[in-house]
Amino acid sequence: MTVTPVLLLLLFPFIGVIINGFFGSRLGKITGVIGTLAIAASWLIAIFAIFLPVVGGAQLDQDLYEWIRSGTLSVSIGFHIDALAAVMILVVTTVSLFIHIYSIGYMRDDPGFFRFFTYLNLFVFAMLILVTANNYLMMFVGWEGVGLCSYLLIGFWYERKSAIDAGKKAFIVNRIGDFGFLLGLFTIFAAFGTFRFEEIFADAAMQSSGVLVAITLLLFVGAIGKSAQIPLYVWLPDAMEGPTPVSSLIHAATMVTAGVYMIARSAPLFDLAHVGLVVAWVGILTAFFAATMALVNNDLKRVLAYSTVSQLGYMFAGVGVGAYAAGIFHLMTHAFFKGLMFLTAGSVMHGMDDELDMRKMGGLRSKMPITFWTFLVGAIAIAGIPPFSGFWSKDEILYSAFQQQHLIWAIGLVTAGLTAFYMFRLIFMTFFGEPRYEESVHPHESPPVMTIPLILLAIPAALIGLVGIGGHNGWFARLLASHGDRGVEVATESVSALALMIPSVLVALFGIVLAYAIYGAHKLPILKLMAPPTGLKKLLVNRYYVDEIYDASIIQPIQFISKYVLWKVVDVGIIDGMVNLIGWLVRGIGSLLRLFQTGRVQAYALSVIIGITVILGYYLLLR
Amino acid sequence: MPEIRWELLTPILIMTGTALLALVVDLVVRSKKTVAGVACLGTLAMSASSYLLLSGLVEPQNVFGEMMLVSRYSLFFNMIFGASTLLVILISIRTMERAHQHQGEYYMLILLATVGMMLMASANELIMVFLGLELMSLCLYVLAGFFPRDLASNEAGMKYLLLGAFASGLFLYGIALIYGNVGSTNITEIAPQLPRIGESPFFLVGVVLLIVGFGFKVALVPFHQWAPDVYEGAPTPVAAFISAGPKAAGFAAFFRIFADALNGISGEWLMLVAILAALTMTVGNVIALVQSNIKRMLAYSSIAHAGYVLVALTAANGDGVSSAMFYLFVYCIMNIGAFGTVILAETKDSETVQIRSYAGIGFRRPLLGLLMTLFMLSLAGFPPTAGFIAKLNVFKSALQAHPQLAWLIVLAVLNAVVSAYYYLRLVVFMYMREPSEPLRFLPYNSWSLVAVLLSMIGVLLIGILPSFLMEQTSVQLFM
Repeated sequence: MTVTPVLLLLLFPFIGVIINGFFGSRLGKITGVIGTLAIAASWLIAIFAIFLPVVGGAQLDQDLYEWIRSGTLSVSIGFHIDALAAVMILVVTTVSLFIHIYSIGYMRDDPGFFRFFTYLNLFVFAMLILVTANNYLMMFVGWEGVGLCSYLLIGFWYERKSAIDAGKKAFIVNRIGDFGFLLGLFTIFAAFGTFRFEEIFADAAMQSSGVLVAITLLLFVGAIGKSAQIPLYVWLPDAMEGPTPVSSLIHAATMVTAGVYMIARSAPLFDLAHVGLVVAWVGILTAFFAATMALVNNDLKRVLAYSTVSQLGYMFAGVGVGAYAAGIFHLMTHAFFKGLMFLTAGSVMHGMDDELDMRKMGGLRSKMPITFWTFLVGAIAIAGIPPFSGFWSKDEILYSAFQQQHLIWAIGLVTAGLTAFYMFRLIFMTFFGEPRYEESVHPHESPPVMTIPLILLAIPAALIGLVGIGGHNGWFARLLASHGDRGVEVATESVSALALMIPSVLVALFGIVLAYAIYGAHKLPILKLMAPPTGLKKLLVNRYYVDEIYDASIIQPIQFISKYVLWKVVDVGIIDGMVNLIGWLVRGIGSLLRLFQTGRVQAYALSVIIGITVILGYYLLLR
Repeated sequence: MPEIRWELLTPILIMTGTALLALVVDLVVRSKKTVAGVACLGTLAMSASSYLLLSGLVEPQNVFGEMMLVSRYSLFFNMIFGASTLLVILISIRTMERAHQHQGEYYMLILLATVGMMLMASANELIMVFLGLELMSLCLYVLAGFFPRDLASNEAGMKYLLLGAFASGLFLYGIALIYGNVGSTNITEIAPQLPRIGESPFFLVGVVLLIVGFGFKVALVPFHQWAPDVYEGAPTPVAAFISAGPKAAGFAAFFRIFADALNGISGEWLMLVAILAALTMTVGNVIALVQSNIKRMLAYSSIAHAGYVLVALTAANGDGVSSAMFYLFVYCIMNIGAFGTVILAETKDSETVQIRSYAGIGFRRPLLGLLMTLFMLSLAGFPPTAGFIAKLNVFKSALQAHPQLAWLIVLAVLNAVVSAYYYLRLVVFMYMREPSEPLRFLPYNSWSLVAVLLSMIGVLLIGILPSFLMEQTSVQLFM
């Protein structure tokens, strides 16, 4: 395999950015087509020139050129393509393509149309850099690049204060994670003297376990920020302020999974450091708590956002217990079904005048049938009903977790039930029952440019899980064999995989039935829905008051110190005071020296003479 | 009688020929633009021939007996002079048309002054240095007082002449003392004699007087006081001219004698040069802070820049010389650019020389504001402009050669900070102040605009891709 297809893969989105970014304001609606064609070209390359050759056994690890040299530091722009990267490339380009097409319709009347496609192409470019890099620093470039695009797109509607605030929140919370990632990079360089994956992994066994634990935990801090895990998940629900295709692409399918990818990429380090259980526990607890918050939320997109946080938790639980293939498998299936669900949510918003409150919906099934059926596919997939995709990948994670710690498996199982419940609660509230929206709203199906991507995306959302049949010996697991499941080796096969499938399917069915009993079996009076929550529900609706706790314990003290100590005392008083004093002093000296510039030639000549006398005096007398 | 190698002298011959031709053309044509055109073409031809010689030359070549030494060093300085003179001619056209007098002579004087600079840069004889210096200076005296009916111009010419003659006398005295010790005025013959005469007080007095002479020409503190008065009074294009080429020529001979011939006793003069550099930078920048006239501000700024270039001399090695060459090239381009922008800002009634008159220009004349901002940033040494790379090179070479001179570099950087104040103050005026009265600007003069745009391209190109120029400036010592 040569480096050419990788370069082309990156080139097309980049060209899209250049054209749309510089000339977009003059090109009008054609920018959407340009952006989409750029991604389509990359998608074709991803399938035929990268994914299929990699399935056939091809590999690539090549430095293109040296990017930075300073002392012993040498960083190259280089690419590493293996099965893991190929799967990521395929997922990213495929989901991006559908979402680009969809956005042509969804963003049709937006004045920032070309800006949207510029950012979207830039995002794909950065994401592809992230997954194709052959060293940590270049990965970090992509990592920050997608972060930037995320920020720009969350605040895309910058006239809205809530959107700007959400963008800032995402950026700042991610800084905390990125700070950890950066410290991890520094530690890697200090320990290994290089950033290249291959060299690092080859030397990893020589390092002391303390160094490896530090590196992996710091990298994991980065993953926690980017992939919205406890305690840094708070930015993702707010990120729903961005346009819905953005929520779908960046905040569900691709960018937020970068943390999972990074840990899978760093698998040799995590294996040697034995910190997998930390990762797994953070993941499974996030999965559980995010699911509980999704149970009571009435905002269509926020339910999906908490669901994303929860599903990302599953992925971390998977890679944490060493089942890297399972984690990546779930990453892939989730990208399809969650991307699909966000797009359907966008379709609902499109038909409902941007309404997001499910309490004001109901009975939309007949008004927008394609949206309903495609959403149902996604919901069944995430709930874990066979043979839909989510079942295979989630079950794979639960099975691997069971081999390691029964408790992780148990929490995961309960979470699966919660997942089925909140998803079908969403379906019953939105698509079934009596209409609760106002008479001025006229729900209608979206245009074909939006519904066709829904249908096309529903196919992999339903069926992509089939590539994983066979578990550890399945096709997908064997493809990712280089990141082989530790679970296979340590598995004692105490129970067969089949035996574990039964409870998870039962739990999912129970969740669906419960949702039907509460939200589907009878008419939902809007007044009851609008009533203020009490008890446990109140705690959940207020998201465990985490945002409030962060505000009181971190943000307020920082603001207080910044304002009353750093700004008013240190900055204004000491720093400005010193600067002004020096400036005043220097200007004073200048005014004084100016007096010597009398304009008289005699005085000037005298000054020359004095200069000569002083210099000669020094040379002839003082030396 | 050694063979005279004419081909090595082509740049000087072209320049001299062009000066004479300009005089003749002036007699026969009515449009004085033709004279300017001839001058431009001649300057371009000189620069091109210098570049061709430069790219083919390996070893320095003696010509005219041993009167002159054609080297990469001298040829590169020819290109500095060529670039400066070309830009100055372009920004002069408008001013000279307005003045309606003696235009032909004006261009001839500029060209002859350039010949003098070239002689200084390629001289291998102290007498030759002096001849070049005088040829250049005499032209400059006339140019500074070129508008006899303008009192300020008159005063500028007179002051420059009186003080310049004074400095020339001291310089000549220095040459005499050195000749008395060395027994020759040939620059290459000084170095071998140094072990014998290096400690002689008379020789050292001669060296000091050379420093004073050069110090006057390049306006080092405390020999600088003529500069602000001359810059302010002289016609603006002449001020631009005096601030650029002659300063580079002074430094060319200065470095040739000190970094090369007197390198063996660098311990004797290093501290003096360092102190002069420190004084020059500091006094230049500090007084520039309180100027209200932009030409005086640029005068003090150019004094400060001479201080930075002098920092490179403290390195006293090939790197230092290269960094000074680079610095002078960049300095000439950006300084003429700044003066040219002042010319572009002329109003119906007069030139715009008061800094407060620039209030609001940034939005009323966007191109002008942009150009001025760029030159100010470059003069202050901000990336990605050429001024940044130039300063960086100078400071780096000096620090590498003499780590004990770190104090000088720290002072230089602090000075750059101070200078940012008055450079950016102009930008603040242009963009953040409202004008007190509406200024009636003339449309841009296209010749001046071409010159300023060329400067702008140079400043940005060198700032972003400095490697080409750096290759040209790489010289060995004993050039």
